[in-house]
Amino acid sequence: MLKKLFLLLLLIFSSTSFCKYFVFDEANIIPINEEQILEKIIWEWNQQSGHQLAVVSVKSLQGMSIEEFASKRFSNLGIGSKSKDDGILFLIAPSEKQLRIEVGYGLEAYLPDGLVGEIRDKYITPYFKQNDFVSGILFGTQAIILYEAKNEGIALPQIQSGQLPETGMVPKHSRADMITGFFIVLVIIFLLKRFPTLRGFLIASLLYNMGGSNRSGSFGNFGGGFGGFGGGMSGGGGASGRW
Amino acid sequence: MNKNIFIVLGIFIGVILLSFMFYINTYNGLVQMDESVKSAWAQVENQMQRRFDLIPNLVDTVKGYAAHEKDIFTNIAESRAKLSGAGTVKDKIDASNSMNSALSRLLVVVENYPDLKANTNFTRLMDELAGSENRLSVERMRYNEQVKLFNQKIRTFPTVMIANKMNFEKKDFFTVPEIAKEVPKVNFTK
Repeated sequence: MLKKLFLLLLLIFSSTSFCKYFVFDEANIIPINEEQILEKIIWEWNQQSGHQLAVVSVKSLQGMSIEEFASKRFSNLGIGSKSKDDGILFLIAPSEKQLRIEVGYGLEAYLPDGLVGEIRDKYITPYFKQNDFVSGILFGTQAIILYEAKNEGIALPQIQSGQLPETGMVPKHSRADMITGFFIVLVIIFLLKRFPTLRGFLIASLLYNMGGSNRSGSFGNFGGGFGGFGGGMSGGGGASGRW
Repeated sequence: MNKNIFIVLGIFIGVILLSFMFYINTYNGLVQMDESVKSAWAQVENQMQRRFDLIPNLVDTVKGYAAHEKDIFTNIAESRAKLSGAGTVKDKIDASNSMNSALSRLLVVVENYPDLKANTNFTRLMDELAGSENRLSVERMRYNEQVKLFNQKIRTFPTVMIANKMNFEKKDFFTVPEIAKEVPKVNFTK
């Protein structure tokens, strides 16, 4: 029984943890659930616009200034396409208490430094000051993406239909998701206990549902959509900050 | 006798052909490198211009709060005029450096005006300015890399022979005096 339960849990969780393209959490400050939300938000924007954003947290800046580090990491990763340089790097260095949002050449028109600085002050540093990295990163990423899309005139139907993030939105979402997931697991356990004959059917329908939602959902098509970063460069645009 | 003449002639023509090819190759290579230095410099100038355009806005905003700091404003105006009057690469580098010091003096003054620091418009402009400085330093680094490659090339043998004949000259590095290197940082935490 326990073994089967474990298997079921594994199935449920694996259904939500597939892609790992844009988030590089080297400092280990983003829980896996939120990392997935991030991946999905960026993925959605990437599919609509073709631009790329990397969220990178690092353990140390190795004695460099954050600007220097960001510019190096940007070109090492090659965020954005080579011809358009349309990448963004969101770099967080928790131990140095510094962050930088570096904008590639191609997106400077849509994300001027002043705007990036405002996003930093409104959606990121207030949370970072309270050591709430997850909220800052989630809100910040959303704000960057939504402002970029708005300024370029790209519709992002999956991400709050163009609304800018409001305080408390994303964490609530993820909490609600978690609670729902928890209840589903409880119900399944209960059903499995009460009606052993249902097991096969339940597992089959679960599998089918997951497959179905993956196919119809906008994030389902992971297989061939993203071919890695494209060798984009940045010219030092964006904004840095401390908290 | 006849045979020998042909051999000598052959060698002679061969040497001429080879050295001609070498000449063309080197010359084209130098022209290409010269162009990369120029395009890197164009990027530097872009960023200088960007900062140049930003300054009137910044000065206006600061004036609203600190109109009596006249020295600073004349300083900035002068360095701005210097940049627009600069013709050669060297002059532009000098003008840009003097603008650096004028701006960092402005930022020191700003520290005394908490109201100004709290102004959203000003915060935005400061971010723009910081971005401009950072862009300038990135492009400066890329330009210097190109200059280094070029200068190395024209001074190594055998390129040096052709470079001298064709008037390829050493390019100036964009160096920043130690004092100006400190990118002015404004602390907005109250």
